[in-house]
Amino acid sequence: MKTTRRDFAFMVGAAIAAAKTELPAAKDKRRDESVEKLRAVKLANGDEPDFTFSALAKR
Amino acid sequence: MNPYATIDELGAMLRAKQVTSLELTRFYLDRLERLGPKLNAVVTITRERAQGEAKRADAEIAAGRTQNRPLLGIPYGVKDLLATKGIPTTWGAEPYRNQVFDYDATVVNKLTDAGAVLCVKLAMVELAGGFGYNNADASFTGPAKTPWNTDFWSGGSSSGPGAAVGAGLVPFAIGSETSGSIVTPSAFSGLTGLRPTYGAVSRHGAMACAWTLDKLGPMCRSAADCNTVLHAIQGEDPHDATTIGVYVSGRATFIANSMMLDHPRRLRIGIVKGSHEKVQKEVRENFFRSIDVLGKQGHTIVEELAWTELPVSATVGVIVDAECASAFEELIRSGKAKLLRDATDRIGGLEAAATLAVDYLRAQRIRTLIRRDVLAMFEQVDLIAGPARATVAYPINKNFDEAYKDVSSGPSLIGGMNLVGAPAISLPNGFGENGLPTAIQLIAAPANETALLNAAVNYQAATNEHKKVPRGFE
Repeated sequence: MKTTRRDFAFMVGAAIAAAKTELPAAKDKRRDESVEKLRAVKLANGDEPDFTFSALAKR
Repeated sequence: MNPYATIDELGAMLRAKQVTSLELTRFYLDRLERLGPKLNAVVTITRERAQGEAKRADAEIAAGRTQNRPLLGIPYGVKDLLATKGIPTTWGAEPYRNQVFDYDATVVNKLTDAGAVLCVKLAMVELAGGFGYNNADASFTGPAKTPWNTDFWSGGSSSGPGAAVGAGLVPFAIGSETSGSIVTPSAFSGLTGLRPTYGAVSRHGAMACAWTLDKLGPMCRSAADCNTVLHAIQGEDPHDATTIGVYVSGRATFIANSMMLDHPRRLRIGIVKGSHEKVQKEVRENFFRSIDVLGKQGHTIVEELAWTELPVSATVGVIVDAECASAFEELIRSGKAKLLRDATDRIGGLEAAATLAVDYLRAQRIRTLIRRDVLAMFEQVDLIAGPARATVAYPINKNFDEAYKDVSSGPSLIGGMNLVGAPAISLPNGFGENGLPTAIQLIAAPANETALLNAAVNYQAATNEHKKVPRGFE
């Protein structure tokens, strides 16, 4: 049976809700804070990711 | 027999026929069986394979085929994320406990070709910590312990290699690092560990944690041993595209230890502003004692280097979240992540899977800017030095974020340098709280291992902290 995007979203949501009591709150917060820190960085249209991978190491 | 002998020392004994590889192998196999469980260091001992490889090595030695084969007959272990034919490869995680591959990882093949003897698959943090563990007890084998004080963690995620090499259960091991997983256990367990340049060593047959960050590297008794092992395992591999074109054509990728000792380089070594101010007292004192040694060896010390203002740790975190959630999508979708040991890991994959594509791409775009800033530092200096970790090893009975609350590493050298793919080496440099080891890390620009290892090999020629052994594991 196929899992649709909607199914997956519900599954993730339900699992997180069920595990809320078990998940350390600080960890939860740290993930959110990381994303917020990234969103605060001003990027220009031409700032590209490097997906050549092997070139990461080249100088 | 000295279980803490270096590869060079063991090789000399083998070639002089003072010991056979089979005797040496059985010596380490016995130590692994007897002492491994005390440290939760071992997953699978590969006795049968090891004895077969040792016998083949002895035949080669008897035939005189020893030239330029420093690893011939030398026992070793691998972190249990490397595929080994017909032997379980568990990734440290309960859901993969019975996983068996029908091939050897490239790095294992290379070591087999070099005549080394695989003795053990070593413990690791489940899934190499990709789901965000917060406790030493994040492996189905239990918390791996540093031999210096077994109330404390050996470091992770290469926890078994750290404990095993630190306790003289194997002469060397292969670990992996996505962001800190070689440097940390090397520091916490008092051994010398090298994180090579991204792409220097093929990851074919290794568990993926985060493709754009994962690296494999040696964990040894000395920097010279790291140089020897790196030479055997590095190189291009058609099965791993990231290995292609890493080193500039025509530039040396390996210089023999004896040549480095005969020709020590005088380098510019930088200290990043803020990297030592808030670390533990003994960590800072030992760090500056190491800097004094490096200064006396003729290196120029450049202080107060400015670090990037971009959010390094957050960038690493989002990239690892997205890539690890993708690598383990099937585990997450199946619901089997609930079988993981650490509570944070059981839910961490689901959280990570909720990372938005635009946030992942934003992280990769910021990474490009971080790389520009960090590589600019290597225009001012040849190497960067810092405390390998801000603290000694974490206690086993506490969550990481509760262990050393008033201590901070400052700029994340480990995160930033992993984003850039830069090589680093962790060198033992003394002891701190509770008799636990501390370490200095030296970092070079990508593909500049020869400068890094020259400084490290010569540093250890002038110091003896890396020769100390933990009581109870002699």
